Amino acid sequence: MKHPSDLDLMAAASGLRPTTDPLVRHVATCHACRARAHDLTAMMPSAAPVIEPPRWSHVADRVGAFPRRTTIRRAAWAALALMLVLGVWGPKLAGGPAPWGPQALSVLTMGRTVTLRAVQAPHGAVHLRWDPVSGWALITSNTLPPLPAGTVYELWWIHGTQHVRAAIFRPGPGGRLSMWVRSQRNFRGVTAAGITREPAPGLAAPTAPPQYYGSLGGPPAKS
Amino acid sequence: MAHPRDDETLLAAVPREPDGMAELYARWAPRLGAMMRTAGIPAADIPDVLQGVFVEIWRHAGRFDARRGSAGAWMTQIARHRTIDFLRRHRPADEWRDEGAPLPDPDDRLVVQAGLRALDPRERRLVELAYYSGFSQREIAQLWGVPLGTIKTWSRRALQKMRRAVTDEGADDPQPDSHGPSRTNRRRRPSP
Repeated sequence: MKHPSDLDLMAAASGLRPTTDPLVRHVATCHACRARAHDLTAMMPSAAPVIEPPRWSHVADRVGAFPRRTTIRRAAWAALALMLVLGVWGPKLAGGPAPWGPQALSVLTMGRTVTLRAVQAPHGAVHLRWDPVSGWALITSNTLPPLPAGTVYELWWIHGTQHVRAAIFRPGPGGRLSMWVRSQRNFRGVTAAGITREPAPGLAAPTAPPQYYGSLGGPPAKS
Repeated sequence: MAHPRDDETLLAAVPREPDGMAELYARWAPRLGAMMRTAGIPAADIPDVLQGVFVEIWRHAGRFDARRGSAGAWMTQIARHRTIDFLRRHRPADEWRDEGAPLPDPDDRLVVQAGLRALDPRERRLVELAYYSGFSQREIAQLWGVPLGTIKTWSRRALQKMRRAVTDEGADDPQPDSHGPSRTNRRRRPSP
């Protein structure tokens, strides 16, 4: 490298250029340039000029407005982790039997919805979203009539003329219901679903006509 | 009583302790602001440019590598780039202009002041930018939008004037103690 000019020597002598700068590296290894820089800087006052800058609080307001990239990255990872945890564990956290996150996702995205309409019940309807892949169904309603004391609703999977117990429940306040139900055979052979009002849980077969009823239309044919 | 931390420690801790920025600002903003003023940024624009510099320091503090130079050098380099960017965008179309009076003299009463006093404002800014802010002559040419050759001519003339002034002053100045060091040969480093 050619020997730097006097001005560049002063710049190198400032100590304010990176050590990787070619100018600084040259001066560090060239005795003649170091001696020249020494003479030049001897002419300069030691104290650098200064001004009164704006108050830090003015700058800090703006600095605080920029989240650090690492913070954003951490927040994104944390959000992703939270979504995964909630996605997998979320349904389980709700209490009662529930599918794993991917199964719930399968029900919500791939499932079919059937409305169980009032047959014996005075009003209301129950929505059943069922998924033959995962074998889970989500039943929801907010119009179920209240039950007399000592009785329960019972959901049945109907295989032709045969009834298989699926779930027993009582509606919440305001007739609300939201619960996960499992079909052990992934709805194979299930043609319909019905809800009856039973005097006691645990009966082998319904004791009365269904309050609500809907046809599932059978599981999709395997391709 | 806690020892004051050096710039490198403060800068390295900024990602974990953003409060360290206030201390870095207190130490360096007066000097970086003066650099911007010397470079030709109008006084009214200095707060904005200074803010931009410290925002950048804050955001990229994690990239600081002490092996490549001091924290001051790193921060000054950011300020140099910002200053060049600003003047590129806001430079008057005609030519470089002298923005107001030069800054007050640093608090230094020694004979070395004679060198700077001998310079006209533009020449003085030239040597101050090099020595106090580490601008190379190529960067100053960029900064002011003048050919490199012109900067070389100006700097050659300025340094000749300084040498002459310091020599003359030194010759006129009686030496109180012949055994003491020559004041013209004092070599001191700028301090932040």
